[in-house]
Amino acid sequence: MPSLLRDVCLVALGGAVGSVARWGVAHVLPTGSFGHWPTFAVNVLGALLLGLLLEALTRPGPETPRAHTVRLLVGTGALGGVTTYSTFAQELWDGVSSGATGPALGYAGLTLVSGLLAAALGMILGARVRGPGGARAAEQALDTTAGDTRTGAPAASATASPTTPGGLPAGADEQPPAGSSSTGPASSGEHR
Amino acid sequence: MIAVLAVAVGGAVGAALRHLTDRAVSARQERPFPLGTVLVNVLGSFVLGVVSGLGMVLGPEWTVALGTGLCGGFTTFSTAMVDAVRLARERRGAAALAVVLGTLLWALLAVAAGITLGTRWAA
Repeated sequence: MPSLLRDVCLVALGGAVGSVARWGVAHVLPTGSFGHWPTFAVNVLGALLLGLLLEALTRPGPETPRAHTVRLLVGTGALGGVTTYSTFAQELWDGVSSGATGPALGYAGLTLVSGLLAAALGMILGARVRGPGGARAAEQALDTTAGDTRTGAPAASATASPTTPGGLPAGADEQPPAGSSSTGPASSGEHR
Repeated sequence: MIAVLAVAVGGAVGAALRHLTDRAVSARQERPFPLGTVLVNVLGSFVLGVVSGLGMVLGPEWTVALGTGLCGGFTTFSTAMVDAVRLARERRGAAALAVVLGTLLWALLAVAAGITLGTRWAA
């Protein structure tokens, strides 16, 4: 499959999952008197996870094919799609146009400050995942769960990435959410 | 069930269009500034305004497919935040501020314009 078409399919698949998740949160989470908790929750959580993922995937040198796949499917697709700017803007405008300018400005400030802090926190956490051992552990986890017939054993990835500094393997709980949620759709995303 | 499907299809198309738009915009930039992200968020907010202005004309299925799915999947809050933090980390504070506040102001204007237009078309 041509690489652009493949990329677009990965993003579309992730976008479908992310959008349905956002829709689900909007139906499950009580809006309360504030009215905007679902949008606030998906946006701030999405910013945290995207910062974490992108930073964890960042390595010196050119991007590996696997990192590229995860970035498009989980990052651009799912985490990009689970958050929304349009609904945020509409909620703000509804507030402003109905005369509740103060609360609307408060909501805007709260969302933007929380979103920036969440993204920054995610990036700090992501850099730790990427750090000594973490990146290799994540790669190995992807290798073992991917289940494809690429050149052999999980050990191959450790030797194939000379840029990865040797170190203690990190705990399994340190992996980015990419590891668990991406591998399933990643293999099936080809025939979309 | 139909609503889930509508959101999924809309979200898939929206995210794909976002990726293509961002690629097209960043391809013709020499200095990396997340113009693509700003553009999709403002444009998506405009379209959501039109959709909500049209309201009853579209019906609930189309509203959720286009509003929650397409516009929600097309626009992205997370990327805007990560872009801004990255700019701040590169000591490009003015650019980071432009992304955060510029997107907010333009998106608000875009929603307002969209609602006005959609309401007029629906009438």
